[in-house]
Amino acid sequence: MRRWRCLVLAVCLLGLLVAALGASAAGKQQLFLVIGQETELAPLTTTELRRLFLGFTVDREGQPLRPLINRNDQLSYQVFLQTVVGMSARTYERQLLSQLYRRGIQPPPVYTSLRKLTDALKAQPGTVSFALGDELEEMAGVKSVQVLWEQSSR
Amino acid sequence: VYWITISVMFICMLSVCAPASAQGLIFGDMTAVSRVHLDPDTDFPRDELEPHATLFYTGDFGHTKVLGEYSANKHDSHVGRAQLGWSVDSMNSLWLGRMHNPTSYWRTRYHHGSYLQPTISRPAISEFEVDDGVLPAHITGVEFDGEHVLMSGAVRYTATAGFGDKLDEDGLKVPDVFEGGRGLHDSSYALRLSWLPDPLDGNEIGIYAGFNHIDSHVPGLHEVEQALAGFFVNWDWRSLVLTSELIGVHNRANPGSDSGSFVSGYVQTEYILTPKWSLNLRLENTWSNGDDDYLSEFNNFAEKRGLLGVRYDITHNQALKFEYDHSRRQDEEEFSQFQLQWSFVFP
Repeated sequence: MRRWRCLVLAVCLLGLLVAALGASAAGKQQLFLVIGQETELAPLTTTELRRLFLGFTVDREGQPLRPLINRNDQLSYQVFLQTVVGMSARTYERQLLSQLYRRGIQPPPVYTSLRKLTDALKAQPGTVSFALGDELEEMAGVKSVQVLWEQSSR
Repeated sequence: VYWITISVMFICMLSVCAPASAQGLIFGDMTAVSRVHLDPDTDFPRDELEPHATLFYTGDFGHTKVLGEYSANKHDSHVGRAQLGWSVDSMNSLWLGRMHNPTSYWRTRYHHGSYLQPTISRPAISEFEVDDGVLPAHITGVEFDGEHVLMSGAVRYTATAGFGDKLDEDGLKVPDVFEGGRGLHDSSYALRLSWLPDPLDGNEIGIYAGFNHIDSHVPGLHEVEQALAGFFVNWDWRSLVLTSELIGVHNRANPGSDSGSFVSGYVQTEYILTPKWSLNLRLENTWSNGDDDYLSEFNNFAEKRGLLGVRYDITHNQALKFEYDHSRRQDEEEFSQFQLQWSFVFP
């Protein structure tokens, strides 16, 4: 009887541990660089990512990459601003406007709909964007190329 | 050279088809001005309402790019920029057409877009011709600009040659884009070099130099040969932005006879209080020993000014600005003015 009690206790503890680990994994937030399923892309350096999302040309195998801004979710945009371009929204948007006006450098197109962003990523090879893990799950035909940022909820 | 340039531009425009990407912008602003302490017999209005609009278009055709800007207020309208560019590589471009003279940091950063400026007014030395500017602000010709990555930073360079402004009794005039009968007597040349510690943010420190032959229609002043050189800095500490320029100008009027010179500069600080509010302070001064026949043609030029301003960003594309300044003009008239401006960019 005592052995059974110990076994039940051990199973309960194991269950709690698995649940805790599961909760930890579920609470882990990640921002991914994403691209259409059919395209292959080697990870980009921090400088290449900044250049790309500030509207400057970044090539891969002679083909220019085309960045898209994901504004479906306020959190993913804020994380992108802090970790990829390192600017406040005000400074980033003013910089894009200023470059367009000064030198005709086209700013990356902005998408507020996840469905339209997914379609755009799949339509043209070399088109890249960023998305949080839960957004990526909704983007059928889109894959992650690299992790741009991650944070555990614990 | 002029007609060859025009012909090449025309052929290239015919050869371009639908742009890969294109964007248009409309800048607009309405400024209310109220002046106090004016001389009783002044020619300056006490109160004014100044509307101003700028249309901008740029199209990217792959290796070819077009860029146009048209500016209008109640006194004047003109083509500010009409440029056709080729991307030599990802860092360098060759431009043909009408462009802004690179011998000014302020003008080539904000062009005619009032919304982008932290303040309502430009520094007097950076004013455009229509606003009583004393230096030629437009060139029609050829420009080469680009960047060279060096260590973690970049060197940015611009070289421009073409035709510049004319001078008449109302000040400098921007000639039409398509205008024949030009020669060395209205040619302009400019060179600018700057260092950017991080090519992707706004910090920049640099020098420029230029030479302008200004065709004059002012009695007793047939031509001005103008040489200038300057220094500029723009540094952003996130909550504090410092912008400053210092420029030395040497004018030789009626070649072979009189010459004069002056130095002008400004220091501006923008303190960003919150993402919506910012506070601006600017001090301007011009040092001249009064022997410059060219400068004396510009009575409205503010040779000394102190300015305090505040900017409130109403939305992501609209701003409200208020400023107070005290100025002394070239004709020694002193006054203070209050300005209130609503400005926007669309979309």
